[in-house]
Amino acid sequence: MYKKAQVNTIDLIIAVSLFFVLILSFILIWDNYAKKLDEKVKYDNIAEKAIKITDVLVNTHGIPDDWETDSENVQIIGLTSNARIVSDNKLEEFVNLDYNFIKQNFNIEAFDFYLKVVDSNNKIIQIDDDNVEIGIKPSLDSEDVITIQRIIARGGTEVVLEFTLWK
Amino acid sequence: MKKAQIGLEAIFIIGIVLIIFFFILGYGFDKRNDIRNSERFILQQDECFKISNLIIGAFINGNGTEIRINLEYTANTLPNSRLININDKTDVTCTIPINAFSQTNLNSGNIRVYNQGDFVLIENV
Repeated sequence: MYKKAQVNTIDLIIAVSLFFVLILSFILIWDNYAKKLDEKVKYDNIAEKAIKITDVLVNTHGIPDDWETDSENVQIIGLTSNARIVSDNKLEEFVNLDYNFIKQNFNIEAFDFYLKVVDSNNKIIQIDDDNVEIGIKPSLDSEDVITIQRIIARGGTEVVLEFTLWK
Repeated sequence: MKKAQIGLEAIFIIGIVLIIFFFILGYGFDKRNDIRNSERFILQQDECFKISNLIIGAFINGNGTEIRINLEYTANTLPNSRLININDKTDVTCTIPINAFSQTNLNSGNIRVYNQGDFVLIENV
């Protein structure tokens, strides 16, 4: 007498359980990577915006050239004079602009920003006794915070323009 | 002699395994679609960043700057809303912090980005 093939129920349950554990692990790892990819895409998007805004600020004089004399009609905000040196007049006018107007001008209505210009001692520079800073600082709970620092020439010295874009 | 047998519980387990297998199959198809959509979105977003970078680059570098590049997708440049729009099955949009560029509908292929008096012209060539 011989025994024909039979299914051992306990073996089957163990095999099926192991299969489920593996599949579940696979799904969790997959989801984790998908979330990381989404975060990277979001980060790249905000980084691109911040880099372009600082590029325009520190490398152009804006449109019109002398927008600081009539800041309500500024089309593009740039902070340099023609010699590609930051203009005190433009800086002063820039920090006096309406926060929401600047966001609209940079097309970053969905975000908040904070901008300051600091000297080599990391102290905010002043023009006519006013600090050169504008915007809202991110809190510890803020998501997607990116800060771009650009060294710019101001008179005979170098200062750092720090632009933080956050959500 | 004992004939080959299978317990009722085994049939039950196999049934559950089959149900879960189909669930996983569906999940796999769903994820595959997600990945394809993500891939398409990332490629379009890269193209969008490429065009906006070219426009910013031409604007910053001043009058006379000319850049030529190949586009993979059709695109629209929208200066009034400061947007670049990349068209495919779905549209992907990215922002640009300047408005001194031409409003253009671009076909895929070679494009020319040219700064003429601090105004950036974009056209197919």
